[in-house]
Amino acid sequence: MVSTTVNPYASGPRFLVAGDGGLVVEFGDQIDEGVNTQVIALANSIENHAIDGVAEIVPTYRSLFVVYDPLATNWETVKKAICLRLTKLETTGFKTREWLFPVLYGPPDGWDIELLAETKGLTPDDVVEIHSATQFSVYMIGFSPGYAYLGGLPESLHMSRRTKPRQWTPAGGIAIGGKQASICSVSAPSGWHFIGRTPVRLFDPARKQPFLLRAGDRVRFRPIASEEYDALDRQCAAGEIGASRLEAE
Amino acid sequence: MSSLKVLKAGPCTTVQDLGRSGFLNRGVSGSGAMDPIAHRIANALVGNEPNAATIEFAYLGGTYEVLSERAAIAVAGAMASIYVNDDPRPMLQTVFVEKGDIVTIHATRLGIYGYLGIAGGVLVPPVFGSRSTHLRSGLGGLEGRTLQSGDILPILDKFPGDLKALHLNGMLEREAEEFRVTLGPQLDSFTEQGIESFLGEIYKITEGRDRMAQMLDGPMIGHRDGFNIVSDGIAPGAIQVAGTQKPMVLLAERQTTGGYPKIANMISADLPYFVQLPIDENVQFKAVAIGEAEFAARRNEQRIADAVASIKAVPTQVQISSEWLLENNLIDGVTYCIE
Repeated sequence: MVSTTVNPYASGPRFLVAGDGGLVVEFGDQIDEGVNTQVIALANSIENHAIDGVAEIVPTYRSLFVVYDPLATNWETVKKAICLRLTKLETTGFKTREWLFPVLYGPPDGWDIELLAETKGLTPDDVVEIHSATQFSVYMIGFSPGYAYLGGLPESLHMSRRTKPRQWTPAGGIAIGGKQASICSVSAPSGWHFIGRTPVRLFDPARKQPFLLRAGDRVRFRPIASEEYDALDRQCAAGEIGASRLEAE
Repeated sequence: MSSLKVLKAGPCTTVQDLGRSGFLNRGVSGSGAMDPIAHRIANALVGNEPNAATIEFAYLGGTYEVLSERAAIAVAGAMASIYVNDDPRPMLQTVFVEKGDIVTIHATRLGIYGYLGIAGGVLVPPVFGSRSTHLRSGLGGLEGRTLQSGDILPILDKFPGDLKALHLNGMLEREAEEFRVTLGPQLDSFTEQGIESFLGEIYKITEGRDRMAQMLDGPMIGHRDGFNIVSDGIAPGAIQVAGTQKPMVLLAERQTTGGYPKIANMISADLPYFVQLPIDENVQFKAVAIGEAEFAARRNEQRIADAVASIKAVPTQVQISSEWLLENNLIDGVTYCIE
């Protein structure tokens, strides 16, 4: 058991057991950009050069979940292979993808923009300006198919979650929960604050590219009016992506 | 291509294979058969490869009409009475059916999940490399949902001509009385007393169960410092403890990431037996080291291979001797009531 008085990550990440077939490389226990950068770097390393017996990897905020086949390898062997990777991990220089998402801020689906503005001593226009001027990073994809957890939300927009979750929130919802931001992928119950909606489908199983985002991507938002939302919504419903993308080094 | 028509489906009947791999990092868990051992046996009994799609049913098997010219089927997993038209048929044995036959699989006993294997498999289109239904995401299987009356499932029009009737002596039984777990990954989120309760006390299967999770009831498992963690990855069999301080075992359709601490993880060799436990059944956990868990996984695989290898042809003539029936456990009333 780890004592709470010493930093358990001082000498490197912790390697944890998650059943026979799961190894967790834990770089920290908080949401932190530096920690997430290490997670993404290790994920990139394993994606580029596979480790024998490793079937899948899941980057999360502060750890990398590594799925291995216990019939093909074992926890100790996978741990050793990852330790080797960590000694030569490159946290800069890898390709990131940048996305620009159109967002209709405020009504009809950005229910909470007024409350958020009022709570933070801002106007709804200020909220739009701050949110759309921020470059976010996709820290992790999880919860439901394609759901993107974003890091980088300015403190002026932090707001703790609703005490009572809503039973239904829309796909494409642009949300804020505490220090985190998100783009919702499917309709689901949620306790987050919704400030707008994008017509872009993060997940569309019928599309050639069913999932848009992956951990490590950069995301910005562009305010649009309802006419443009409606036009883009029709295009996205027909299978177009609707978000523009540029590669960056 | 021909088909099998669903006349009446049980409450949770879905098309399943061994699950979907490669999409955890996109938020889609593996899904697949809840009891992959029974699924593989059902497939082996109709000459299929292990990953062919079967019909998984919980509690009630349902009624099906054969629209193919000839089909071969077999049922494995939870015990259930099977009828073709009005004639009883055995579990764990290949059953040949013809166009117009009505197959009825009654309520399950001694287990929850049963598998209807069909020669050639259920030929719904694969989605992201798998035919398994993921209900929460609406993916795979038949339109991503449970089967309903009137559904038509594509299957082969004729099974391979050389397929003989096959039979397995009995389902595999679990090796240990306790359910084995590896501790962690968030063991340090729990009090010493909480960990002691988890490993020392008895927990009960509750009716809070589906393909995503099984809730347990029993002594509270105390958290050291609240029950929120920064969300991380979730393995099949992960045992998380939320604010209720009761354990919940996450299964085939679990969420891929989550923010409740996980005290332990059930080992893969024991999970297929765990999902078959009836409501109110007692569960005792036992901690094992990762090496032992991995050994159990390899041993489990060997046991399945041995069971599949033990499948043999049913004598072709219907002059079934009482010796043969005894030898094959067919007249003890558990596996099969012969008329």
